[in-house]
Amino acid sequence: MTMVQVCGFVLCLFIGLLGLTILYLIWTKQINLSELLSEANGDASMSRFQLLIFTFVIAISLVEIVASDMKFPDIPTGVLTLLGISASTYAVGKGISYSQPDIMMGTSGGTSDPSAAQAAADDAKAHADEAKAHAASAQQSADQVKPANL
Amino acid sequence: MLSPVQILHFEATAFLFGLAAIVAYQLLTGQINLQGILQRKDGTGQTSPERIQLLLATLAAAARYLAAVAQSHSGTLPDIDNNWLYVMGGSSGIYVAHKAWSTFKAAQQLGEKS
Repeated sequence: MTMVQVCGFVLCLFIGLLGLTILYLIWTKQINLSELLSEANGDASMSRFQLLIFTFVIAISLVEIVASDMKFPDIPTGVLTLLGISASTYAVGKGISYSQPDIMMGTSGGTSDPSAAQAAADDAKAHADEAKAHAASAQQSADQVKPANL
Repeated sequence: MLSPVQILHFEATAFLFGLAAIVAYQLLTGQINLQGILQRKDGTGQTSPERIQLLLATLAAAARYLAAVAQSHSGTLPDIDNNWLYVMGGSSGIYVAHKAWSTFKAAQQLGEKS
């Protein structure tokens, strides 16, 4: 076995271990993909999903073609155009969303769901009452401590 | 004995299919967030036709291209027919145009309120 072959096998081992580690970390959630398709407001993005699909399709196709012919093929202009359309859709969509951050984050006009608005108001009132009770309790404790210090 | 090139091909294929399988599994089990992917973002929660047509066009184009790769024996990546590019361009254009229109309409309403 020549030195070149030994280097080749070492490289294969390294790349294989790297790939396995990445897949293991994704599977065990140490690499978190839960927000892979999410926008800043938490909703999933159609353009991200489209880009994900096309990236997988082209990558798998490329690996299969390289394996069958043992050389890197020319990328047809149609494929580049398709990826360009997909990436442009993502970029333009992102630009539109971030041009109006209040609307994107849903902070512009409140919610259109009256029950959700009522629930939020009730929640806020409960928090306010709780804070008031804490403040009263703290004031009472302070009043008790004050004469002792005097 | 396998050569390093064959091993690399096996590793690349296994990694890509493994990654695709994990992503597909997490998508199907809800571990990757898909909430609201087909809904309008204007707060109405309505299903959005332009998102559905973009999803269908994307899946159709992806399936068509994978089929072309499977049938190809030329050793090069198959080109994509112009008609499919028109479909994808038109579909993405409709999606982006509607997104822009709804966003700027919401901004206009916000401006009128304030």
